[in-house]
Amino acid sequence: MEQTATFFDTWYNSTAKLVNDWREATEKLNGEQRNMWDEAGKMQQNWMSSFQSMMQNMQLPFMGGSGSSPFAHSGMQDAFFNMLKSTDVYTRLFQLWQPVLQAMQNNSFQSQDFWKLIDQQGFKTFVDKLFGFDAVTPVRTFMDQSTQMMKLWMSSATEASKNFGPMFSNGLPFFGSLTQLNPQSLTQWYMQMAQTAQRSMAPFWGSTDTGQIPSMQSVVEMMEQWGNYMAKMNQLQTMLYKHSVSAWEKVMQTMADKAKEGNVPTDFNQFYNEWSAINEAEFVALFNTDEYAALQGELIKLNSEMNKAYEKQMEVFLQPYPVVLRSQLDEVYKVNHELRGRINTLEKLVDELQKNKPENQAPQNQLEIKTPNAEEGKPGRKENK
Amino acid sequence: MNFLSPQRVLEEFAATTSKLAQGFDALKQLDEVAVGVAPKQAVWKKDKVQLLQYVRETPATARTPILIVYALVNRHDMIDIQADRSFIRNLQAAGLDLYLVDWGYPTPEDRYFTMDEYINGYLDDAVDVIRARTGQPAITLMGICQGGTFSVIYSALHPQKVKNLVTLVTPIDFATPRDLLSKWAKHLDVDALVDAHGNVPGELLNAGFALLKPLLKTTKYVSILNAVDKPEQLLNFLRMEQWIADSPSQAGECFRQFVKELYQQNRLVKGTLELSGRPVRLANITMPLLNIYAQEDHLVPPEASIPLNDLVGSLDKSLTRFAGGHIGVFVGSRSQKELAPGIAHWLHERDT
Repeated sequence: MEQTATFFDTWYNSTAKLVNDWREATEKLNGEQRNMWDEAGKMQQNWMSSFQSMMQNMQLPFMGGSGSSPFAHSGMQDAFFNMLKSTDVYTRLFQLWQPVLQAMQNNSFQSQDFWKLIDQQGFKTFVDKLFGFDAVTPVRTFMDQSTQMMKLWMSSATEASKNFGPMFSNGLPFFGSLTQLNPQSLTQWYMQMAQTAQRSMAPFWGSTDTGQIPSMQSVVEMMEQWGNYMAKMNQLQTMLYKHSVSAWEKVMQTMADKAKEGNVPTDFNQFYNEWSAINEAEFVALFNTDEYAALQGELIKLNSEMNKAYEKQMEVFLQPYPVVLRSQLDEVYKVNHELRGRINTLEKLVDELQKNKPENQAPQNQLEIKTPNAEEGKPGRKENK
Repeated sequence: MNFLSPQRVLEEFAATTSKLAQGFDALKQLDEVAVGVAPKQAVWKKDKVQLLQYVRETPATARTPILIVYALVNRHDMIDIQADRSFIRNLQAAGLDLYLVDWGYPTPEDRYFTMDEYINGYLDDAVDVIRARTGQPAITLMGICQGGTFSVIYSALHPQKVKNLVTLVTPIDFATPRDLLSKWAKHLDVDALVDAHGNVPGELLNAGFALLKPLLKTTKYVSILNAVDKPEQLLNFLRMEQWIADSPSQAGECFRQFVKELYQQNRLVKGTLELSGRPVRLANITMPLLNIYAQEDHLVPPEASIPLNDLVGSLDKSLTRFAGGHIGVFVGSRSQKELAPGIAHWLHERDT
């Protein structure tokens, strides 16, 4: 925690110096310097580089949830993280469009040169960041939750889990690779897990009906699902890239038309607002197509099936151990829910019977309102009236 | 385009970094921002669901109590986001006696709760508690968004317990062309989703809502950098962000039914929805109806709300358009002056 706090404090304290340095450097620049754009570009690159480094440093403790944040409340932590991410997008956009806007400013812009002026890799990275493909948050969340679940299971296991526990911990670093959507890492991790599990659990597997072959079959099935998911995700990314290209060309045309009329934005924020309005309209139109909706639906389905397969796989590994599995808990919840419903029905019946006793019957002119029992926590549906 | 001079570029980057540092400093010093702080007390509880009554300093001027039914999606704090932008406080100031169903936060053990159990169970219980406490045979039901849909269904099934029905930004027709959620729901395998997750995570829903305006988040966080040195503005922003992030999971079976029977099959307007084996007929709604929709609503487009007035059996029915979006209708500055007073006026006229 101290290390993280020091990191943040250092960053905060050094920022003022950085800003002052830039301002001093800016003052040194003057119109006679032929390489002033180069100088400015270098400083900008340095800024972006240090900014990226800070972003990367911050993501780890933020995601870990180990209490190492310098913020008093997680909401403030999230807010700052969102500020950083948004600034990242904003400044990347600035960087990508700068050559185009500069050419427009110098009256040297030709629309056919548009994509020659835009850094292609930077464009792809920008779209990835805008739609969250870089962080792959859902996968990370999925993996975090699974890890948490495994830890809970393992913490409640007996001596038999001693070999399995360290093996699982050793496997944890692979989650980092998984979040980069690397199927090879997933295979490797599962193979290691399966081999270690096989060694440590062989005696138990011998006494159960879930042996090695079914387990490996399910690994193969999951790998197939992962492959399908990745293929669909690629389709989605491609769709977003194509629409981004189209939206950016519309922005370019709008800006070029305005430049011809001498009606150009006076600051970058104005440009951003123009860019944002055009892009948002384009993407909302895309999201309202059956093609997009169908692809999104397929991705959610594949993700759900992967999630389920993963759970199933974990249960196969954990079945020999004296731990409660999620599927077993679900059964308990289901039975509890049915029992609570029946109790609720019976309570209503008792209430009706009590109300129908002669001494409890209300006079004709008295309002009769049935009141649920406030003390009893029974759920659910009443009988039809 | 003077902003493209090297000096301006560097100044811009320096200014951005400076604002980020200020933002870091400001946020580091803040603890949780309070939302939903209008005084209230729990008057009934069952499982995770509570019935809350908002505390009044003076007696209500309307006899009929009001039960506010918020959506299961997100939390009701949005209608009491801060003292000077509170739909709740404005309704109270207009003389109304307010109750609210707090649906709570479903946990895995709640995955089997159905729409029927929410509406004919918890909601009906809450209505009965209020009727018993106040001695009123029927109450005013005020539903917001999905809570409005629940209120409409409830009113159709239990019309004798509902004196007035007020709906705000409420989806009724789930198959209108501009409704992105409807479009997406058509292609959603809700069985796969619920079977895999049990309860549907709030984060997943929030990710979907964010895509409805894909650039909004970036834009608003870039904009707020200009207000990191303005504490009031920053706090207002953070309250709303806190509300957005506070997204309960959805009980799996209820979500499955809501998506399948309403979003995918549009049964409410078709008259084919059934709960507990009873048909939900909108024509059974004969009490006075006030239906309010938001002109720029991107979550529940006006066309999704408006048809209600043609489908109910009420003779006394009003349809009111309000400027603003799905949330702006409650937290916008115009709303503070017009929305709650307008509703209160409508209710007072019928408080005989």
